[in-house]
Amino acid sequence: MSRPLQSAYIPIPPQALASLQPIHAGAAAGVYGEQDLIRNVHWAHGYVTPQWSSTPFNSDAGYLQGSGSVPYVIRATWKRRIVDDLPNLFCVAYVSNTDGANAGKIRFSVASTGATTGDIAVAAGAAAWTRVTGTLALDTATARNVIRLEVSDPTGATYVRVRNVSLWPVNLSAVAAGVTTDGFVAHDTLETSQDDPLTTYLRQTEIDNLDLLRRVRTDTLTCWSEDAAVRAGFEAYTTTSLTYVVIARIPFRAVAGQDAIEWEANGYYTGASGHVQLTTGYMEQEGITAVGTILGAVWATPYNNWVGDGGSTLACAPESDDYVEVRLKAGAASQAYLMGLALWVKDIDA
Amino acid sequence: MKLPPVSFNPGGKGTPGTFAVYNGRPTLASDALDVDKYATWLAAVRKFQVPVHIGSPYTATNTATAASFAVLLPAYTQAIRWHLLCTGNGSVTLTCDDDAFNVVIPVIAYDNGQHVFANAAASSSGPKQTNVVANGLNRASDVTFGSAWRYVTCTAKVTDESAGVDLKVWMLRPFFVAPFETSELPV
Repeated sequence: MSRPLQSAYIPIPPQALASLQPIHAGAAAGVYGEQDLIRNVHWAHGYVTPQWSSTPFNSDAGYLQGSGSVPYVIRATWKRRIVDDLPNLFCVAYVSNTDGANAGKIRFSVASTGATTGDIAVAAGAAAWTRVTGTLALDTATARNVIRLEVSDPTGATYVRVRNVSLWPVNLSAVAAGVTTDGFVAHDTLETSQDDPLTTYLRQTEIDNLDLLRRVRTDTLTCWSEDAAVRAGFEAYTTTSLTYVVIARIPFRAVAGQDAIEWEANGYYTGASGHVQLTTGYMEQEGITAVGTILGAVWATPYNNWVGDGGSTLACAPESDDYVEVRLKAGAASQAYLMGLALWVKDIDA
Repeated sequence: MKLPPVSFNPGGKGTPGTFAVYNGRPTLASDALDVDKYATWLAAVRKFQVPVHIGSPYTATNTATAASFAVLLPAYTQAIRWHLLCTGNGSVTLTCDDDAFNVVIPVIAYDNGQHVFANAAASSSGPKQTNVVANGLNRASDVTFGSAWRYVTCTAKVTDESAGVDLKVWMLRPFFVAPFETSELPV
């Protein structure tokens, strides 16, 4: 009895499952059958996952760095709805260290729980751009997690620099028994052993599991953070315009069943007010009003001015190419700053 | 399945909306084939979008040392294509761990020197090419075609056309080329 999970997909020859062929249990060399089907369903559950973020830090000098502070300082934040069944996040950063004698550190943390990757060492003299990685336990009790990048410089005068951060859920290492939070039903090899009955329940559950993965493992359009401490004048997205100006356009393709984009925005304004507004090509075409929010009035650590859609998702048409347009405006004698943006496809309804 | 079901489109046009296996009905081989087809579609044909790189533009200055980033590569990916929004003139050089040679996308997106996002024009890499033996081609980046999900490191570097005629890349989007209908899926 087991719930197998292998690290690679098993291509099954079609004749193994064809009409008038004997039904095999499978999972033996050269003999394919029922257990290979459940192995592939489990593999899809464990491995099929979208990337969450790839954030280049192009502002200022083309990287972010600490403030010359040995204690950790927060330098970037991301926010995204988690995939319930994939509770850990893989964090990749491309870094360098200006100090040839002393190591520095970075770490990723979850705002709601304080969980961290632990220290990720940036070796003394690490060249641009050296890859470092860590694993972060997400807060499965909170639908949308805020992820932070924290930097600890080697000394007060030398710096750890970060060029890019990429994030995605960690693949599973085992398939738990029972029904998961998302609704995936694990299979047991006992269900498909030789001489055991082949049930309609098994077959329907296999299909339901695959359909579930199609519906809840959805695409991320972007998940971006500005360098939270970027020098004035180097911010990517800022305006003093009293009317909305287009600052970004993000192309995507909605696949079958995908008809809404969820979002989160982070930013602030100086002066009276600052707003961000989002729309899609489909919404423009259909005359649907753009959605938006006012940004925060203060920008200070922990840089958590994230404002979500609150149900005001962006509409899109399934099976079509589209784009999200991002606009920014400021109030009178004001300046607006967009410091983070996350857009991902809403789960497809069953 | 040994071949990717490229026309299968669960939940969409051309594919039955529900897959129901009824109690009391005889066991059908087609039910097993449906499961196999769906799983193979998830493994080989369904390609997630890679989060778009936005923020400040890539420039020759901030990519003096080529900018590195990671791409989570789905199983059975043929190649990575590149989509850009740019202003100005020059070229973008892209590399990938799996590819022995670089990709160079020439960009002509002259904007009268304004360099504002509203003027940005789209460029993209050419398709996948076979038997590549040299740097500098405008094509998709090659990746190893295999059955495991893994990640690769890619780099981007911007080159201006000349002094005074520069290039800014406002958006960079890698996207995956799914296997061809006749591509046998390796173990």
